[in-house]
Parts: sequence; structure tokens; C-alpha cells
Amino acid sequence: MSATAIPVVRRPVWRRLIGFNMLTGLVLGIAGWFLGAWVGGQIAVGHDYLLGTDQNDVGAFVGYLFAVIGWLVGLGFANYPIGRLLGRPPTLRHHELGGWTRYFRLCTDHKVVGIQYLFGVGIFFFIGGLNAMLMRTELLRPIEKAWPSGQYLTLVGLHGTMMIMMTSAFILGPFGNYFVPLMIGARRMAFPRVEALTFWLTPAAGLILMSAIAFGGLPFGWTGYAPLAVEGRGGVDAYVTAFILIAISLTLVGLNLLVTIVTMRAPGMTWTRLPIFVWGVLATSVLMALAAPVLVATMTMVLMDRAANTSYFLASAGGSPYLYENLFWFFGHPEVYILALPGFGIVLEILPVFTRKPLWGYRLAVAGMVGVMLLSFMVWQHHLFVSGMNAGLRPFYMLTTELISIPTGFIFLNAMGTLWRAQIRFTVPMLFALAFFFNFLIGGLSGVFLSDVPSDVTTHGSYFVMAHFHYTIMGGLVFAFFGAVYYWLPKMLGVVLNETLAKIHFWLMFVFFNLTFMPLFAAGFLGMPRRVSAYAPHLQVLNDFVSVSAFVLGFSMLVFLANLVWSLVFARIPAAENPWASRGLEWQVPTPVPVENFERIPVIRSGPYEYGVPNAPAVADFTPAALPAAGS
Amino acid sequence: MTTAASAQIPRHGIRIVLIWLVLTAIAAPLIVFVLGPHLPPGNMTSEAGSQRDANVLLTALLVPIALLVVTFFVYSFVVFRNRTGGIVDGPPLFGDAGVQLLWIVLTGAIVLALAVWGSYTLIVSSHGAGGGQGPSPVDQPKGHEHALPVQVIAQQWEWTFRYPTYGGFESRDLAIPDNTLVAFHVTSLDITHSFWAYELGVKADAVPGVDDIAYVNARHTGFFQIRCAELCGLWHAHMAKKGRVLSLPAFQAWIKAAKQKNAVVQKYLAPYSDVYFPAPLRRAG
Amino acid sequence: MDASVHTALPDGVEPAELLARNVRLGARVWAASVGFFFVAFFFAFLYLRALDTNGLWRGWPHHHPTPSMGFGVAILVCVLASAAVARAAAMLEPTRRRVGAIAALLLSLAAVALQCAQFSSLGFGPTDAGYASVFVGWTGLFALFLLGTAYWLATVVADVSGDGASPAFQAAAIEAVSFVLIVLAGIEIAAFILLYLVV
Ligand code: HEM
Ligand SMILES: [Cu+2]
Ligand SMILES: [Cu+2]
Repeated sequence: MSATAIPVVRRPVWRRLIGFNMLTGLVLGIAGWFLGAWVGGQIAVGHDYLLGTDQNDVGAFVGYLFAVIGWLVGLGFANYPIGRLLGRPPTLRHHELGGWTRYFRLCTDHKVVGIQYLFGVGIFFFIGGLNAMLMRTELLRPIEKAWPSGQYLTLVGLHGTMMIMMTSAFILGPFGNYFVPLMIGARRMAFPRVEALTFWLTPAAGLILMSAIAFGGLPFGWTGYAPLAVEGRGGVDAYVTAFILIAISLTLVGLNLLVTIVTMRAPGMTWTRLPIFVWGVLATSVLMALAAPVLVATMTMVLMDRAANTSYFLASAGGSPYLYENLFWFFGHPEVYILALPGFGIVLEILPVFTRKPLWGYRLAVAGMVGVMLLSFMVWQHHLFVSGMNAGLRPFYMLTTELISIPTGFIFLNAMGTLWRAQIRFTVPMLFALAFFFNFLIGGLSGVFLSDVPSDVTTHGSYFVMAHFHYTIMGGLVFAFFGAVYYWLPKMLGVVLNETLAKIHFWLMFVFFNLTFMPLFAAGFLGMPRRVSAYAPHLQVLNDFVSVSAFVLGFSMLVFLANLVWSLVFARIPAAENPWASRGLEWQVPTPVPVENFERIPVIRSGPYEYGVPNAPAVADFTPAALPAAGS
Repeated sequence: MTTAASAQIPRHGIRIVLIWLVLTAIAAPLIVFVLGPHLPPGNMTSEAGSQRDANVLLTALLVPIALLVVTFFVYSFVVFRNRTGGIVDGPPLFGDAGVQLLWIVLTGAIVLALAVWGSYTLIVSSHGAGGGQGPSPVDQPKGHEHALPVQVIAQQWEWTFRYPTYGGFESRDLAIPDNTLVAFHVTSLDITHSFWAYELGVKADAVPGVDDIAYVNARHTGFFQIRCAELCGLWHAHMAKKGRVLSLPAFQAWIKAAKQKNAVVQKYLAPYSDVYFPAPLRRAG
Repeated sequence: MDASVHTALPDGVEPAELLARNVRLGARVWAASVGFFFVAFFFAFLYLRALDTNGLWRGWPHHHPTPSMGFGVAILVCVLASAAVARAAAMLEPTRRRVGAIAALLLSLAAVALQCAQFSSLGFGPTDAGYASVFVGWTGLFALFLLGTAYWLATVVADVSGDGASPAFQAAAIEAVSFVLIVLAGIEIAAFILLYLVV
């Protein structure tokens, strides 16, 4: 670390609460909300077409806008832009140093942002999971017992929206931010302040989304189809604002990671030596940077339809609900690959370490990810096969959708090749990675049913779809996420997680995940539509079985939490620097990782997967004497 | 690499393929002959039948693929496990162009075959497979000009069915004649719903301002379930009812009886409308 | 790459050469994002126009919104000029850059001001059905993006005036802004053709 570091002044805790931090952000955010709601009311006065309904959407939106501004100003995000206008030189140092308070304020150290993401997004993931438990409670009975139908639908919307919003950055947020610079040999990300911003927008989006509960809920699912959502109550304003915030955050996450990976690789880190996880991040970043802006635009149109009474989506005033469906899924399908691609990256990163073999078919894996990335922009109308739009195009979208299974299949071939004649060690991260393949296999193959139009006429809008996407998202992404947690947490938090609890967590989660969602394929086949609080009585046995399994699945998450708390707070067994004997660059730095990662930018000498290669050079030279030409 | 080790390579491959063949030989007939006839949505209409055929064929094709992958994985877990307890490097295999090419060709062939077959069944053999095709259908069955039109009008949270060729007669119950080509014209008065007649194999979104057409030809009489398959608000789950396929005489008798029953009230009401869209609203809700 | 890449800099900032590369590539990715944002409006225009639901694309019966062509042309000219001037400034030598950047900034702000002026005398409003919705949304959001880019230009001016950033970074920054402005100019041309000429 550099010698000119600003000395850390120790001040009493109460004094440290004052300043630009989360607390100030909350206070200013709430104040901003009240101010904005008042200002919005003033704007709407006198424009009777804005007040044609029982609620003032202008007030709601301006309130949320001011709340977000207050939150960001309180965190200190305004200081730098203003300083720049005054011509002050940029400096990062005082945003990178400090003790535990760094985690509660604007910090530009990518490792702090990674951990902020891990816990921030994790909290919302648990809230979303809790909603799922409440939903499954209702579905124990074929008719509404636990919740009135409106509340049930709000649970569906909250669960779905929360999960989609938060898990979009489930891997790129914590692990992308934390490990990409370490894996490519950089000191930080290309735009560290933007990086901090992407995180701090996330809790704002989550809290605003939850505020929907107070304003009539969001009984329209995560897709918020027009005109249902456009005509809905105040909860829609929360949904729209939250989605805009998260989409801005995703756009910037993509931009930042993309630039970092392209420009900041250490010398010798050629494209063919790039860890496969980084390739996954790169492909995802492109999708984020291009697809998320379309969501911002779509949600802005909903905002205008509600607050300014435009008619993008209202057929009765020259608009079209189809416009919403097209725009939403033009974002929405790339979005599902935003959820899938990082998972591919993680599992392919984990496999070589625990098979002690090179990643089999590295170039094929890269081609697979890039192929998925490109194709994912060309399939969106497979969500609209029976919508009555462009029936003549259905064979085209059937073809493109099925084509995606070719590059996805590459990932499976990579895994099979890597397992071939390997020395497999069944560690916890490896178990999660292997479970990923089983789940994603079922998720992917069930997708083939949905891509075939005659079959989709049966399954569209049914629980079959619901089972399909839980297999890909929960079975894929979430399993990959936990694989990454068990793999990388020793480096991130510096402690060892209890292995017995981890194995209990894995087996409970794997078994009961399948017991929860496998029967739901049958429920869909038997004619149970999605998003229903009541269903045909003959499906009760099936649903009860699913609900009970879901509760155990929920319990397995508590086992994980218990493990985390136990290992982090009570046991505190320090982790070894490289407990898995991995060749990854991120494992060659000390634990805890110093603020600027590397004392000198390392020079990369060989690929990260050269296990078993006789006389393979060390991964990198950390004290390069002479400087080679730039590697990129 | 020792010769002993390399001599083992083909044995692994052959074993995996053999296990897989056995499993497939067991699974495939079970799927086609035991599970197949029970796969949805049954055989009540030719459209439903085509969907069931698609489901049977896809299951019979995809389960063996899944079995191959699972067999490979499980075999590897057993045979390629690290038994030393220590960290031992495996052989440095970086890939094999031949295998990769074979895989690409195989998956590509399967995928293209699926797409061609799917398009063929959609367009030629099942004429849209009971799915909504919008106002100007492209996959029209023979004799569609003479199809019996039935308008399905969705609103929060009820279905109304209208028979234009029977004087615009409207009903909250749905009945259609068997062995007659029926054209459902699905639309909505308020927000998007989706008309799902499960056993008929019909699913068509009900979008305000849109006439979404789906064809169906019932093979035999019986009951079928109607559901709403697109979230439409509070009572979405309760837009369920039962419809009937009747023989043609029974169908005509049903209409006649219902008309007579309604006549008492109908004479006080405006005549049945032929326009199903509300006057332009500036804002609903 | 010079030797400074390999040792930590005192203020925690990466070497100017790297920052320059970052800002240039970042601007390109950002421009792509902005492009996809407006693709949604482009699509909305063509889609709603083609569907013409209930014959209401051009507005309510007897009330067809027509924005004033004068404003349209003036805004278009300002945006194009701003992009061209910024581009030229990026190629000028450091001492003259400042003038170019200020001129581009003023032109961008003028476009935003003209847009506001047009809104205040539009003759129709967002409630006037399909075309009016797309017009108001597209032009309004475009002005917002232009304003944001103007802020960025202002920081470039501040850099050139003070000693905020190294010359290498300044050159890259103004090149980066000009790239985004050029893309915005492209979007504005599309908007002009669709919203004023095709309608
Ligand atoms: C404990 C595990 C989970 C359970 C028991 C569960 C259960 C459910 C249930 C009952 C629904 C409502 C289905 C319907 O009526 O249509 C649902 C919907 C949904 N879930 Fe989950 N879920 C779980 C985990 C997840 C995860 C991890 C994600 C994503 C990361 C996720 C994403 C979604 C989405 C996007 C919807 C759709 C909401 C909508 O229809 O708009 N779920 N889930
Ligand atoms: Cu999709
Ligand atoms: Cu409905």
C-alpha cells in the first residue's frame, strides 16, 4: 500500500454517524419524499387531466424522485459532480480507506462494494423468499383461506419483482465487483464512483418497491402488463420507479464491468487466458448495457401513461397493449440470460478447480456464452405465441428459440469434458456446481416444450412455465450463487464456513428444490394457470406436497444463515490464503486483500486452468522486474 | 500417459453408452405407451390431439437426452472420483476438436429437425394448433370460411359468449357443436385476459381492441374447462367455468331453448350489439 | 504503457493514459445504451403508427396535433452543430479546445431551451392520442439526455480551465463527449424525420 495514505482519525461512534453515510441518506431520502409529494401535488393542481383519477401519480413520482435524490445526496454522491464542475481534481483515496464504517457509506473500493452487494442483495433475496413461503401457505387450500386474493397477488408481484430485480445482480454485484479486478490483475474498476452508485441504487429500488404495499400493492405480477398495471393503484408507481432505478443500476454495472475487462487487464492477461467467469461477466455486461435501457424506456412510457395521461398502451386512446408486451420482452428475454450467463461462468470456473483438470474446450465455452448473448435479442416473441400478434412470425421465433439450445449445450459439453477422467473432489462448491447442471438440464429441456408452438398452446401461462423458470433461475442461478458463496467467501470474509452445516444446506436445498418444483410441471400440464390464489380442487394433493417441500426448502436457507452467522460471528476460523489450491489469480493475493490488491500490477505467465500440465509456469509474476509490452 | 490409461478410454465411453441405451430402452416405451396417452390436453379436438402428440414426441426425445447427460455425470462421479484424499492432478486435456464438432453437428441437427417439425405441425397438420392467431390468421384450416363463429368476450372477471350466426345471441355459458369447425373470436372489454379451454386445446389472449382468432374442431362430445391464463386482477383465479361440446342437434336445441328463456327479458333490452369495444375513454381506472 | 502503471499512485487514481482509455470506451458503451433506450421510442412510433388502433394515431377526430416545424428545425440545427463543434474541439490543439467546448455546450443548452419553448406553445398535449404521446415522450426525454451530456461538457470545460485533469485525459474526455453527442445527433435526425416529416 502506498505510504501517503491519509491517517485514519479515530472518532467516537456518535460522531461517525454524522456525515455522508447511509443514515444521512435515509433521513434526506424520507424528507425528500415528503417534499416531492408536496411539489408533485402543486404541479398537478390546475391540470385537471392529471387529476382525473382518485390518485395523484404526479405527486407519487416526484416524491420518489426527490427521495432518491435525497438518498444519493445524503450518501455523498453529489459532492464529486459538483467538485468536477468547479474543476477539482479527482481523487479516490478518502473513499477507499476507513474501518467498518466503509460498508455503510459511499466507498469506491471494489471489494467493499462487492460485500455491500452480497449482504444488500442477500437481504432482499430473503424478503422475496419469505413472500414465497406466504404464497405457498395460501396454496395449501384450493380456495382463498390465508390471504384475500388481492393480497395474494401482491405477494406474487412482490416476490417476482423483488427476485428478478435483485438476482439480476446476484452474481455480478457481489462476485463481479469483488473478483473481476482481482482475476484480471487490476487495482480497481474502471469507474469506481459509478460502481458505488450501482450498489446504492439497489437498496433504494428495493425499499421503493416494498413501499407499494402501502399504496395498494402490486397485483399484476413482475411483468406488469399494460393496461392492467397502467390502470392500477398507487403500487404501480412504486413498481415503475423501482424498475427504472434497478435498470439504471444494471446498465451502469454492465458498462463498468465491460470497460474494466477490456481496458484494465494486466500485461499477459490475453483474451484466451481470461478466466471463464470473466467471460461470463463480459457477455452478461453486454446484455445489461443494451437491454436494461429498453426497460428504462418502457417503464418511462408507463410512467407517462400514468402521470401525464399519454396513451402508449391504452387501445382506447390510440395506443396498444402489444407495444408494452413487445418492449417488455425485448428487455425481458435478454434479462433471463442476464440471470443465466453468470451462472454458467461460475460453474465452469469451479469445475476445473475440483477436477484438477483444465477447462475442457475453453473456446467452445466462450463461443457458447457469446452465442447465447447474441441470440437472446432475437427470441422475445416466444412469450407471445398465443397473444394474437404476428402469427406468421411464430415459426421464426420457434427456430431462434430452439437455436439457443445449441450454445447452451456447449456449456454442458464443457462440463462433461472436464469431468472426463478427472480427479473429482466433492467439496461444497463442487456439489452446488454439479447440482446446477442437473437443474439447468431440466430447466433447459422443459424450455424446448415452451418453444414448440403446439406444445406452448398447452403450457403457456400455466404452472409449467412457472416450474420451468424456477428450474433455470433458482435451480441455475441460485445454485451457482451458493457455489460461488462457498467457493469465494473464504477470500472475501477471511473465515472458513462450517462444512457440515454447508453439506446439510446443500442436500436439503437440492432435494427439496426438486421436490418443490418437479410436481409443478405436472400441475401446469393438468391445467393450473399461473398467478392464481384458487385452483381446481383435484390439484390439492399435488399443491400440498409442493407447499410442504417449499417450507423445507425455505428452512434450508435458514441453515445457510445459521452457518454464516456461526462462522462469521462465533467460530471465526481464519481461512487459508488458497484453501482449494486453485490456480486462479484471485487466490494468489493475501487474505484479507489489501486495499489496492496488488503492490505492483502482476504480469500473467500462464492460463488459470493449467492443472496437470507438466512444468506449467506459475500463474503470474507478482514482482515483475522489467516491463513487458502491454498484454492486451 | 501410460498405455494402460489410454486403453481405458474407449471402455468408459462404451460403458456409458451401454448404460444409456438400457435406460433409454426402458424409458422410451414407457413414455410413448404408458405416459403418452395421459399427456395433456387429451384428444377431445384435433387441435388438442396435435398438442398431445407434440408433448409425447418431445418427452420421448428429451428424456433420452437428459438420461445421456445424467448417465455421463453419475458415471463420472463414481469412476473419476478422487480416491486418494489428497490433491492429485488429472490429465491435462484441453479439448478435442472432433468431439466438439460432433456435438455441434448433433445438437444442431436435433434443433433444426425440431424447428422444421414444429413449423410443419403448426402450419400444415394442425392449422395453428388451437392458438390465437390474431385478426388475420395465417394458418387456416380447410373450409374456414364456413366455420361457426363464436365470439369470446372477456371482461373483469367474466366471460360472455356470442353467436353472430344465431342472431347475435349471447350467453354466459359456452357450448359448441362437435365435428364442426369453430372459429373463436376472442376479445376483451377492459384489460388483457387469455381464453384457455383446456380440453379443447385452445388458448388465445383476449386483448382490448383486438380480434384474436383460434380454430378448433371437436371430435366428440363432453365437458371442458375454461380458465383465464393471463393475470387480469383481483378475481383472475375465478374466471373459471365449464363448457360443453354437444352434438349438432343438441347444440341447436340448446340455443333455441336459451333464446326462449331469455326472450322475456330481452324484449326490454337494446338489441344485441355487434361492436365490442367501449367508446374511447380518456382514462379507465 | 509507462512505468507508472505498475506502482500505486498517491491519490488512488489510475494513470492518465488508462483513464483516457476508460473514458473513451465508456462513452462508446454509454452511447450504445442511449441508442437502445431510444430504439424503444423508434419502435413505439412505427408500431403505433402501423396499428393505428381505433383510428386514433393522429389524434382525436378533428384535432390532429402538429408541432411547429420552425422549432423542430432549430432544435435539429443546434444539436447537429453542437456535435460537430464538439468533434472539432476534440481535434483542436489544447489552447483552442476550451472555446470549442464552450461553444458546443452553449449549442446543446440552446437546443434544450428551444425544446422547452416549443413545449410551452405546443398547441396540443400528451393526452392527444398516439402520435402526441410519442412526440412528447421522445422529444422530452431527448432533451433530458442532452442536458445530461451538457453537464458532462461543462466538466470538460472546467477541466480545461482549471488544472483538474491531465492534458491526456482532457483530450480523451472531449473526444468521448463528442462521440456521445454524435450519437445523440443521429437520434435527433431520426426523430426529426419521423416526428416532423413522416408523422
Ligand atoms: C423457496 C423458493 C421459491 C418458492 C417456493 C417460490 C414460489 C413461487 C410461487 C408460488 C410463485 C407464484 C407462481 C404463480 O402463481 O404464478 C412464484 C413466482 C415467481 N418466482 Fe418464485 N419461488 C421461489 C424462489 C424463487 C427465486 C429464487 C426466484 C428468482 C430468482 C423466483 C422468481 C419468481 C418469479 C419471477 C415469479 C413470477 C412472478 C409472476 O408471476 O409475476 N422465485 N414463485
Ligand atoms: Cu424469453
Ligand atoms: Cu382474466
